[in-house]
Amino acid sequence: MRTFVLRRMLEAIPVLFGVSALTFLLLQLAPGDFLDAFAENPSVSAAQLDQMSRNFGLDRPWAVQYALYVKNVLLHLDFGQSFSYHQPVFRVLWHGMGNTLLLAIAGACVTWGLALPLGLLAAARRGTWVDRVLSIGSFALLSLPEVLSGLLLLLFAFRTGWFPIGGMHDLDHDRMAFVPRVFDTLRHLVLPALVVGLVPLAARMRQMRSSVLDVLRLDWVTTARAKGLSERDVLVRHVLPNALNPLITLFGFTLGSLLSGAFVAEAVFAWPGLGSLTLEAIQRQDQYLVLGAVLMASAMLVAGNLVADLLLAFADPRVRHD
Amino acid sequence: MTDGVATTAGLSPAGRAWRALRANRAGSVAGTVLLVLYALAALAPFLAPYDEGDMDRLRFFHPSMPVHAGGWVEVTRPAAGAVNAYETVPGARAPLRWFVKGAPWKLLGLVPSDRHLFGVDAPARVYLFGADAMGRDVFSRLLYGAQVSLTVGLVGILISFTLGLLLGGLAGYLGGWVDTLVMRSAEVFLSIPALYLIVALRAAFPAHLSSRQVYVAIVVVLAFVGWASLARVIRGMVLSIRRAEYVLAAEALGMSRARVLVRHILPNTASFVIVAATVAVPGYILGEVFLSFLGMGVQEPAASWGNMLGAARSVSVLRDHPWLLFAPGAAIFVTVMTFHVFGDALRDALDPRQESGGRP
Amino acid sequence: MSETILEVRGLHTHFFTEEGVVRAVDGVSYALRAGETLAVVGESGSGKSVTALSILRLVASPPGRIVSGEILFRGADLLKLAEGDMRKIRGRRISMIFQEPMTSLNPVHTCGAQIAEVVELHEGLSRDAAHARAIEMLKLVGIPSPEQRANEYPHQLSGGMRQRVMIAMALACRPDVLIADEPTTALDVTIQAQILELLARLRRELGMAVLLVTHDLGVVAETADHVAVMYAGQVVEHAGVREVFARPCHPYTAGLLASLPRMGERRERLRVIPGNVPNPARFPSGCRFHPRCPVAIDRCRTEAPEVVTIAEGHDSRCWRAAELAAGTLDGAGGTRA
Repeated sequence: MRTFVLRRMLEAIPVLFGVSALTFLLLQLAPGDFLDAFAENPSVSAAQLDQMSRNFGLDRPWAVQYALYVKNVLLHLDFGQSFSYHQPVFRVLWHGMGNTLLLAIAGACVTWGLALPLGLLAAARRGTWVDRVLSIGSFALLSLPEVLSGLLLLLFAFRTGWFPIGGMHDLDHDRMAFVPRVFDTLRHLVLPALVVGLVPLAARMRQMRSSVLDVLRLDWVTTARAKGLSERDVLVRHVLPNALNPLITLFGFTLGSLLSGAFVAEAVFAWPGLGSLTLEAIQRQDQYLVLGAVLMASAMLVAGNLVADLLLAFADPRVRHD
Repeated sequence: MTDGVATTAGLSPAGRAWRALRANRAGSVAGTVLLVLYALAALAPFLAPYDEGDMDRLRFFHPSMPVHAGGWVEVTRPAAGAVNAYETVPGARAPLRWFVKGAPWKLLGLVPSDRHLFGVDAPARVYLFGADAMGRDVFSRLLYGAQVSLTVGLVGILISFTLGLLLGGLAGYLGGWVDTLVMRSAEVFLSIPALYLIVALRAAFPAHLSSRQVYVAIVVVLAFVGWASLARVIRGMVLSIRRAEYVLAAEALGMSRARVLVRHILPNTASFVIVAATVAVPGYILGEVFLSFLGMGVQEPAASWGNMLGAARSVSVLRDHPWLLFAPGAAIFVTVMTFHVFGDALRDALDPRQESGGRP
Repeated sequence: MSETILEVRGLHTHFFTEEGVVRAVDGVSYALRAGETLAVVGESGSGKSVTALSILRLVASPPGRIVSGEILFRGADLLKLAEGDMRKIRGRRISMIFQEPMTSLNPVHTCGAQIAEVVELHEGLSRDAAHARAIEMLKLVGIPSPEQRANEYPHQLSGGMRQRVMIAMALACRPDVLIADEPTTALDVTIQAQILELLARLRRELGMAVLLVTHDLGVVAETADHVAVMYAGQVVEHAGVREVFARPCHPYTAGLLASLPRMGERRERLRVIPGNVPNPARFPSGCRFHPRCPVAIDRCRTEAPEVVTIAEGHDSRCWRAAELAAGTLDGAGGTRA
């Protein structure tokens, strides 16, 4: 088990190297750089521009820049300076990562929190109107992309006034006590989390339903019924744990779409996450910030896959004891 | 069941799939809707009463107009003392005229004409779905936008799947360092969440491009996103197919490796690839929508469903002029839904073993 | 003679499929006496397992449904019980074990937990007490080092061990009736013998009745007191085990017996009854066995035979039962070597 974890972690390193190199290359292909904006500013002299260019290493060939970057990351965990924030990239991204993680987890809670019981229900009531209504409803949700559901929920928030229309906090958040503060954040979180969670819901529900149906066909379900267990106990104690195993693998596969969904929700609801930072950084050609953001997003994805693998190994005694 | 087999026994696999697809009611309906959608896009300049950039500075945010029985719309004018509010001119009617002369256009860029399906006499205007912030006709822009939004994903997927098919095929068939290189690269691409990759790729192009250049840029961006996951699956399939006896036979006959791969191995993945591509189309369409929504894709005044949605982003628009959200929103919803239904039916017809999947 | 504890009367269980109604069980009756073993014998597809599942009302529904009949347990009709009351019967008064020990145990729970679950459910034992009972049961079914085995998962055990765990689970509440549906079919021959021996010992020790569903007449001879032979959804012969072996009164039973390998007899190959079990969606007219029957007469093709009683406790569903009983006709077709 421990060697398995270690091996998976080591495998992630070259992947992240590849991600950084790819992103670096793409940013080099982009015409112009951060200093273009300054160059148009008449109060900045050519000497100053030169100075800044040297400071940020923009005058060196890109291979040298990349080598320097890798060296700094490895030796000092220094992901470079953000040109526009005048702060280390890591410090800028730190909060964004936390916020994106919060949003992605909340979105996953929406998806799985609805998909598991609804999928179980659809399977248990297979062929009835409950099953059909769930299937049609999930299909409609599947066809409602995040951009659209985001704007519709924004409209909803606006019309009803029940939810804030963007951002993560009210203006007086910092003056609140702890509990109202948490409540404030949660209130801001609800709609973006729905945006992240609703699109994948349909697919997860379908998979849960078919997974439960697969298990319901198996012999031990009859054994459980023959014991005198109620249908509810059969489903919860015997079917559910087995039906979940294939879905745990899926959980890993879907992390990427979760982060992409969070990206859209952040853009629509002005949620100050990694996605918003990335967009902003790209617009300002803040090279190291983009690089750092893409790296962090990938690291989250890779780490999430690792966690999913571990969960799977932990959940299935047949894997756990190998 | 057995009857079905008997009547399709003499058909090619494609013919059999076609029958199965025709027999699937939801699939046939979806297929027809798709054809209609693409026909609407192709005929956009003819069907649209106005050009996509045709502005009317007197009619910003004009609401949609109902067409009255008998084929006329009301004539409106700006309401006195109010902003973006309009009142009907009492008693005035603007009859819809058919096949009117208007802005010149070319069918599929070739056949020139200046006829439009319908229109009203200037200075009155017909706004079936209302007007946007520039007084441009949303209905016309929706049709023009379909030209971009419906095709960009399709072209993107064509390139991306060709790449994935070839790279995955080569990796599986040749093995060795080719395999390692392709699969490691695929892993890198798969480790970046799709939208992060999309915007990073977009950043490699200049921010301001002509509408034609933007089109190419978006296609290239989308092509780079989807190849990796497909290459991975194709590699796995090729690994099992290359041991098949007909492949060994082809090799024994002295065929070149490229020929064996292209003629004998890859065709066996066709039904999987076709289904996977159809199921993936909505994701690609949404890629364009998202880029344009963010202002990184198709630029005004050219229309795309994405930048039309982007124009509906502000709170004041949502509050006062919600048709700017509903019109492109409904178009996107219908298109995505239709592709999903069609993809499902296609999967049932071509490749019943495949699990129902999600999105890229 | 002991009292009848479980009686199936005129049971019809049908499956409503797209291809039509499948009459898997079509008027089955048999009786099980307290403390005895009744073997229900038949080829696969004869409806013997569906009958067994019907007793516990575990037939998958849809598509299956018990259409009519009675299942009397200690005189009360199980088919009339509310689902909640039926659950109090399952696992507590009537237990069941299945053919495939590899798949009959839930892979995500330990063996001990699965046994403990029954006693927790029916006897309200605490978790610890139930675990102790589980270990006790594992010991009873002859599993070595039961304390350790209780904490292991099914995949860590061999097939024979798993079937022992299934038996331990079924017997944990000391039921009156154990339904064993092909309990040894999936096991090696040596293990088969051990499991049958175990079942026989437990029956003696615990004094329960066993309904043994099997396709193997060899198993029947060693363990059963009575036999019900099933064919095409019906019982075709019902008798004491000695009676059946000595004087089979249905050509199908005779055919099954003829296909058994005998001690001291050298044969090129085992004789099997030619033909297949009929499709239960389209039974043949008349006697359902007539297309395969070596002694069928014209009447068999048109008229379905009723059950006739040949002797006390010996029934047969055959027009020529009297001839077979009198020994003037060889049911296996007169070609017995």
